[in-house]
Amino acid sequence: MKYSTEVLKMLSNTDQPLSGEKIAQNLKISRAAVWKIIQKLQATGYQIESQHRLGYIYHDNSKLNQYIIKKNLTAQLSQQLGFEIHQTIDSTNIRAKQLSFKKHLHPLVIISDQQTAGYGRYGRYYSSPSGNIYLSLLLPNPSHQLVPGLLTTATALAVSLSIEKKLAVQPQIKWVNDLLLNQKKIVGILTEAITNIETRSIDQVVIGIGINYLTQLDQLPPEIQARAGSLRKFALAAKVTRNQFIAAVLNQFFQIYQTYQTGNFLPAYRQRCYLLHKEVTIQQGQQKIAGLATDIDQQGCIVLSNGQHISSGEVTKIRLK
Amino acid sequence: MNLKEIQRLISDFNQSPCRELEIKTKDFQLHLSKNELSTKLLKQLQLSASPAGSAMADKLPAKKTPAADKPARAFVKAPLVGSVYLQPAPTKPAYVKVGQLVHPGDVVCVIEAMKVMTEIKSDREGKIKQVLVKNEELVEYGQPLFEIEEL
Repeated sequence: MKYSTEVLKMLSNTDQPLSGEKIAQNLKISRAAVWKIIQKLQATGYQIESQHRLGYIYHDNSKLNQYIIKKNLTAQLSQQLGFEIHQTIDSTNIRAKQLSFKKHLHPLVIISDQQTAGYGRYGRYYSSPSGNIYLSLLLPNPSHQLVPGLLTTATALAVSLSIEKKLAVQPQIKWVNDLLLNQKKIVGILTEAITNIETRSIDQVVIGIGINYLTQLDQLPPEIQARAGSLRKFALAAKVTRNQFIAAVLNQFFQIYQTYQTGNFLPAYRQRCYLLHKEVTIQQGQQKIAGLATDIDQQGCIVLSNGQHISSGEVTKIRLK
Repeated sequence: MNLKEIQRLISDFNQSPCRELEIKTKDFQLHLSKNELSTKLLKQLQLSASPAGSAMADKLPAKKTPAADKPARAFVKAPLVGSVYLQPAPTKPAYVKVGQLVHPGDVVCVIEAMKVMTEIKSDREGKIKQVLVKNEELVEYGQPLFEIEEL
């Protein structure tokens, strides 16, 4: 097991073919053992090509691979971030919360190819077929300060910018943090704050990001097909693999995250905000509030034309003005 | 309003459970808001919830605690503003019910603000005596959510 991780790491970290002999020497194992490991890796879905006389070469085929992700991260992030990659899991947010029982100095990234119990706000079912991106960040929060409305809007902007830069398509943000493409939801974000009753503060934060990246719409349950979209077409056209895209999102997120509490990213958020200057209905518990959305304030709240600042609830209706 | 009055108002506002305050007159407008989640607020809240260890109480010297034999009522209060969820999902049972025993760290509800879900945990051991809010209700900062009967 340990050797197969090492072989995968060596192959992922180079664009040149590696000979079986070289790998064997490096790990002090036999060439036959290397061959066996390569076969096992191939069987689990890693695309490793054997080139005559040259050796083995790795092709990034979108199979989740932390070494390819790390290769595409900034040097600092590549050092700091810890990774946990799953083929299938109940939910990456649940896993992150389990891991939060321990203290972590650096952020952890939990990624899965699919989820069996993905969930959204208020326990709502979140469909999670294979091939998409289900990523949770477990962030230490040493300052114990948290500006919820800025964290969630910053995350939405980071994912939007990654899509614009990498896939050459412009999504829109539906307040607070849904991303839409042609009015179909392509990204959902669910953030959970972890309170520690001993320190009486929020000492860790989990940000779950679900991106419909490679899914074909007919893989989704029929009841959500009308509302869901996918980046598949754009991802294939731009030839950006899942691993490369995950790295882009992480690079972008941590760049904004450094200063998110200042709200300096809000102008870019507002620019992409799909609700501004539209008549909206916001459901707040059992209550409905309707009005013209005029602005997003410095805390990320939506402002209505009557001056009301709203920090809670969900936009259920949008009417063009 | 002069500066002194404003300073006093701010300090009163700080002491009060109010979260936002707006004053408008013909040529004057003042808007105060405590809408953020910070350790400070959480700590304040915790301190005010436990009079024995309260820093505030320590600062008020020589004031006798009245009726020391009668224990203070204990509450789990909202550390932030938002919508409260008493159950993990509409089809699931509530996190806690009246009469149920809770331990420190047990999740009693979730408060959502700006799409951030915060699990609210009990900081003490006891029995849930009363649920003081309705599901999906909008709660204010410092609002009591549950009364806990300490055993």
